[in-house]
Amino acid sequence: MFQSPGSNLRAAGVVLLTLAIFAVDAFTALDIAIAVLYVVVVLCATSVWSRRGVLLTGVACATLTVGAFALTHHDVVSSPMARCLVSVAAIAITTVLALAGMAATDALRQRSESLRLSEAFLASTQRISRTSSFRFQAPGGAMHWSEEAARIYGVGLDVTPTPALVRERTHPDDLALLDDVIARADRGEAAIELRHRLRMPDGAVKHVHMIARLAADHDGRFEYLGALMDVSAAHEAAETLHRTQAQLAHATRVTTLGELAASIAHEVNQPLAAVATNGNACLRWLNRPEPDLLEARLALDRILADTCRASEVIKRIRALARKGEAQRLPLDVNLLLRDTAALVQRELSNHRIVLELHLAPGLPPVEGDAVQLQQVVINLLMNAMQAIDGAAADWLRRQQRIVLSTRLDGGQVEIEVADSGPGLSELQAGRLFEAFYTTKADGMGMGLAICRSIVEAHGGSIRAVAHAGPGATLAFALPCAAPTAKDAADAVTGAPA
Amino acid sequence: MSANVHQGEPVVFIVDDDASLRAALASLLGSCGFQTVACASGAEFLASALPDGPCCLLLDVRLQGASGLDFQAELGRRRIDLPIVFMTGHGDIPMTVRAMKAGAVDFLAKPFREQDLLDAVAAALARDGERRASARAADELAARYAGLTPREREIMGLAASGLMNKQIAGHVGTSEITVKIHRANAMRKMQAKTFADLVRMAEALGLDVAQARPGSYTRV
Repeated sequence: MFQSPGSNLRAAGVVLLTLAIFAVDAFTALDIAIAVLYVVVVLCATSVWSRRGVLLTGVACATLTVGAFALTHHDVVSSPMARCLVSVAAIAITTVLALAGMAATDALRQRSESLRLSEAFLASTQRISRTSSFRFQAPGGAMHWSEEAARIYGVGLDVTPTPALVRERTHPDDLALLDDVIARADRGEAAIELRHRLRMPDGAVKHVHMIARLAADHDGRFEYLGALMDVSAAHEAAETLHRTQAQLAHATRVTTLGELAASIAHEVNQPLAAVATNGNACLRWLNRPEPDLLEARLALDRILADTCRASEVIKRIRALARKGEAQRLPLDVNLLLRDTAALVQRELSNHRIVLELHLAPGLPPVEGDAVQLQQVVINLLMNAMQAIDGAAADWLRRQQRIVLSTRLDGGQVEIEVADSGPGLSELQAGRLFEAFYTTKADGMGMGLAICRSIVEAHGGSIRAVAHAGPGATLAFALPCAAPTAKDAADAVTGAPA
Repeated sequence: MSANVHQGEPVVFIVDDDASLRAALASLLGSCGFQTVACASGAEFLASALPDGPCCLLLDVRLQGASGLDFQAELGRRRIDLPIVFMTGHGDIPMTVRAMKAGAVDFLAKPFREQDLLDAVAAALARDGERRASARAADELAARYAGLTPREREIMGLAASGLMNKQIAGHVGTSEITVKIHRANAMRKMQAKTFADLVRMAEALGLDVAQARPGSYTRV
């Protein structure tokens, strides 16, 4: 079984001992059961040979006992005979017990081996998946964690985790989150979860996700078992995706602005023309032989109003061209739609399209990025416009319309753009929001795909609505912002949003 | 349409969907002594009555709903003959070309210089004034002509075509002296000081002078 240098020596010792006992037993006339000492041989054998060797040793010892008896005694029924039988019995019993003991030891050893293997297995899995396990008590915070947890926290494997260590590594901005979770654990909540950041001593930031469940409740001392995952890589990937989407959205936004350039130039030019004209008029009223101060003042008032108007237009365009982080703010959808309509109104009217707004009053706010949502609406409106244009290129065709409407649908605000164009086939409606799918000759097929990614990033959904009659309807729904205390109070008093 | 438009005075109609620019134009033209009527749309203009005096139209090429060009065509269909000065923005060159081809007097690119605006408006009003004066003269002439007896008209036409009194007498079957009397009556009623005046009037009235006298010599 074990072929170490020591085991050969021990084997030789066992053999010598056996021979010594045999010599005393067979060649001395001592009237005692020397052969019982073979028991020692059997016991020693357990540490030298395997079970098979021990069994053979037992058999050999019994054989030697009987052999020694046969050499020295010839009478069958006598006290030496009885001693011989006692010795054989003792050897047999010892052998059986020794074998049973060895079997038990083997089983134990095997179990501890498999335990060690499974631990190693778990540790490597934890390492690969960057998931660690831990245990802690609340209140108090006595903790125990796996090696991977120590690695995630960036401490030595032998460091005993403490609440102070956990606090020290937690990102300062997320300490409040941590405190909240600790408070919940102190109350003994069944499940706690926390997504937060860790800050390593070198300044590196890790994003982690912790989930723990109440495992035992010892009279107000709660024991939690949990897992801690390092989700930095996933977080980074999501961030990158988000950034790429934002860049793409920005690029298409700028493209859209380019398409609107003529209309926008008109929007800016109009107040400028008014300012110049008012300025001339003002001077003329003042330069009269009898200056007309009232008219001059009115002209100046109009100049101020037009200056504001021009800067409003520019502000809207700048906002749309802005390249920045997406924001999440509560937004008044109707206000947003009115602003957007103001941007594209001129373009639509140049295409002989009347834009009608049917806005449901008192809508709850939605949470999102105004610029991105504006982009969605502009895309949908331009899309509707192009659909109408494609249907009738004729300069003097009858007036077409686009209806932009909002309504509250459960916990969502639904925004609908319905046009009087040629409509969509079912196949088109199904593929409309796929990237690079277009029904237009010179389309890129990106507009609606971007609309979808923006709407979905806002937790909403976008779809083409099938309906009877001509025209197509595209609609998207956005979840209402979680009501704040103030909103709830407004709702109770019935105050309009 | 404001009630304070003085009849006979020149009026500038401003049609622009931008309320602020409309007010500015009205103020500037007002400061220069023009009467103005500001309309937000073509329909609003059509609903207002045209004054008696010379007028012109200051029209934005881009209007909400229908474009300025459509409105120009609509005026043509309604036989409203009014000099049009178009106001255009950026990138409206094709529209401007169409407008000029359709008979616009002038166009101004926004934002425009005040002198350009005033010159264009003055020119348009002058053109309308001339058109009105000649239309008025034609009306008067027709009224005078209507005051002639059938015989006087016949003799006026024949005389204007260059026939001698004797020839006319032969033509209509009366005495030369009677022709002379009718001819003198016609000249008095038509307020023609000379015979050459009468000939011009006959031409302006479109009397078929040449047919009455198969061509012998050149007319004055």
